[in-house]
Amino acid sequence: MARNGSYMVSHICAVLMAFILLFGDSATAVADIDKSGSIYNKVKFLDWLVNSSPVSIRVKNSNDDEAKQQLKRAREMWEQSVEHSEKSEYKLAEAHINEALKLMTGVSRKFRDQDRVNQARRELYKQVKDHVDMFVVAFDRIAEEKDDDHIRKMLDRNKLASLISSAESKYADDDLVMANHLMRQAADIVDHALSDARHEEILLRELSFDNLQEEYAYEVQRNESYVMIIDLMQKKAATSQASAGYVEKMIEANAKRREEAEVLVKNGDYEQGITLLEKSTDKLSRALRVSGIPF
Amino acid sequence: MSIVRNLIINTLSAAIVFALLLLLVNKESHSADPNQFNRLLAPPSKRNPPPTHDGIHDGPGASMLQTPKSAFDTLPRSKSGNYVDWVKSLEENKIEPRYDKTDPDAKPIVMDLNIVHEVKGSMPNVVYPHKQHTEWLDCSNCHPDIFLPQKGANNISMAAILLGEKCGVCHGKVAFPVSECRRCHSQPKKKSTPKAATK
Amino acid sequence: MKTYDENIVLAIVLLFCMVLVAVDLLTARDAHAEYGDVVINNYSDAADMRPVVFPHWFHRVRFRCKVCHADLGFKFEAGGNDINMLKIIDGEYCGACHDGDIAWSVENCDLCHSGAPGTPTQVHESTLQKLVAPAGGGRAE
Repeated sequence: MARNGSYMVSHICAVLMAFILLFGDSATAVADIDKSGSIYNKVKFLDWLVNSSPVSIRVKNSNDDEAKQQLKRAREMWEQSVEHSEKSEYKLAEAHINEALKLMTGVSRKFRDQDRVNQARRELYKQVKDHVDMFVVAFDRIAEEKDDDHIRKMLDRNKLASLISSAESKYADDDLVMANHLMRQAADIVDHALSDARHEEILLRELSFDNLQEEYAYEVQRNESYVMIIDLMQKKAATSQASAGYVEKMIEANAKRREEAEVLVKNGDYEQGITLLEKSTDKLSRALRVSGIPF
Repeated sequence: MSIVRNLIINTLSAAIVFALLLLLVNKESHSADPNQFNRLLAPPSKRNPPPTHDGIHDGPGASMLQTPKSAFDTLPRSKSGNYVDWVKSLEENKIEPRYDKTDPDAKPIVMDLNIVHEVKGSMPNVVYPHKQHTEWLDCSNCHPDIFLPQKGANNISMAAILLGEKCGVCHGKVAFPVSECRRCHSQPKKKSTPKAATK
Repeated sequence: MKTYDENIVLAIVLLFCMVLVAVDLLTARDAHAEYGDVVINNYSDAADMRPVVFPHWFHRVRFRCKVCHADLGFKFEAGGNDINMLKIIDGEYCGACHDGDIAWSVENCDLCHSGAPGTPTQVHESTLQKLVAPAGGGRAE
C-alpha cells in the first residue's frame, strides 16, 4: 500500500509540474523573477538619474532651492526603494521608484540641457526656412506658368515678408521658440497658397526624354536598380532553393544583354539597345516575383 | 525496482511522443502536400496577432498592451499591411487623429493635386494623389528630402521602392505595402500613347 | 491489478500533459508582429532592458504622421533617432507626449520596453525585412 502511495505521489508531482510549465506564463514563480528583474533595472536607472546624471549635476550647481529639494526627495525615494527591493517587497519598491521618477521628470523639464535643445530648435528653424524659400520659388514658377493674377494674389507677399523678417529678428535675439513659431506661420501661408494654386489639378509626368541617349541612360539606371535588389537578396541568401537557380540564370542573361546593348549603342543603334534593356529588366522583375516578392 | 521501471516507461514514451511531434512540426514548414493552398499567406485567424503571441513582444508589458484586433474591429478592412484601410477610416471619421499635438481641432493643409507618372511597359500609369497624403503628412516630410518638387527630377523604379527608397520610405513599412498593384497603377494607358518620344 | 490500472491511468495523464507542453514549447512563434511595429534597440541591450517596440497603428489612430515626423523631429528611420531615457524625461521625442499629461509617463517601463531581448532594430513586417528573410518566417532558427 505504501508503495502504491509513493507511485501516485510521484506521478501526481510530475503532472503538477507539467501543468505549471504549461501555464507558466502567469505562474507566480516566473512573474516574481521578471518583477525583480525589471525592478532591478529601474533601481539601477534611478540610481544613475538621481546621483550622476547630467540633470542631477545641473540641479546641484543651480540656485533653485525648490529643485534641490525635489532632487533630495527623489534621492530618498530611491534609497527606500533599494531597501524594499532587497527585502523583496516589490510593490513598495515600485511605488517609491514611480514617485521618484515623477519628481525627476518635473525637475528635468525645468533644467533641460539648453545647448542641445537650442541646437535642435536652430535646426528646425533652418529646415522650416528652407521649406519656405523652396515653396515660394515653386509658387512663383506656377504663377508665371499660369500667368494669372488671381493665382498670384493667392500668396499674400506682404504678410509673408513681415512674418519672415520678424522670425529672423527673433532668431537673431536668440528667442528661438518665437522664431520657430513665426516661421511656421510663414510656412503655413505658403503651403496654403500652393495648395490653392494647384487645387484639383492633374499633372502628367510623361516619360519623354530629350534624346535617345537620355532614354538609354534611364534604362541602364532602372536595370541597375533591379540588379541591386537581386544582389541584396542573394547576399542575404534569401532566394529560396527552388528559385535560386532561375534567378542566377536571369542575372547572367541580364549581364549578357547589358553588354549586347552597349555594343549596339556604340554602333549608334540606340533604339535597339533600349528595347533590349527594357526586355531584360522585365525578365529581372519576373525573377523577383518568382522569388516570392509580391509586386 | 517498479518505480524505476515505471519511470523508464514514462520517459521512453515521452521521448517517442516528442520525436513524433518534431516530425510533425517539421512537416508543417516544409510541407510535401501539393494541395496545400496559400501556405505562405497568413490566414485571417493569424492576422493582427495579439502582442503576447506575435513573436516580438515579451515580458510583463506584452500582456498589458491592447490587442490590435480589438482596436480594428470597427475600422474598414484592407487586404495587406495592418489589414486596415486607414485612408477610408479617416474619411469615414472612424478615427480622428490630431493634426497638432495639443490642439484636437487643428485642420490639416490638404493639397488636392494628382501627379500621373507614365511607366514603361504595359502596367497602367501611376496616379499619385496628394490629397490622401497631405491629410496625414506635412509637405516637409517628403519635400525635398525624398522627392524633389520638380518635374523629371525623381527617378522612381519598383526596385527602389522595394528597397525602401522614394515611395518605399513609407509604403512597405507603415503605409500599405506594394503588393496591391492597382492601388497605385490605376490609370490605364491610352492605346495611342506613343513610346518615349524621340526628338 | 488495481494498482497496475491506476499507474497506467496516471502515466497516460502525465504523457498527455507532456504532449501539451511539447506542443506549446515547440511551436516557436514565427515573429508575425503587427505591421509597422518598430523595434528600437539602440541602447537597450547594453542596459539590460528589453528593446522598445513602438506600435505605429496605435499612434496613427490618434495622431497624424505630421505631428511626430514634422513637429517632434522623428526621422523616417528605425534606429535613426538618437533617443535615450534622459531625452525622454527631458520632454524630447517620446517624452513630448508621454509626460503624464497627453499620455502616460515614463514610470511604465514595461509598456514600451516590451520586445524580446536581443531583437535587432527593425521595422517589423516591412517589405525590406521580408526581402532579406525567407518568406513565411519559417521556424525560429
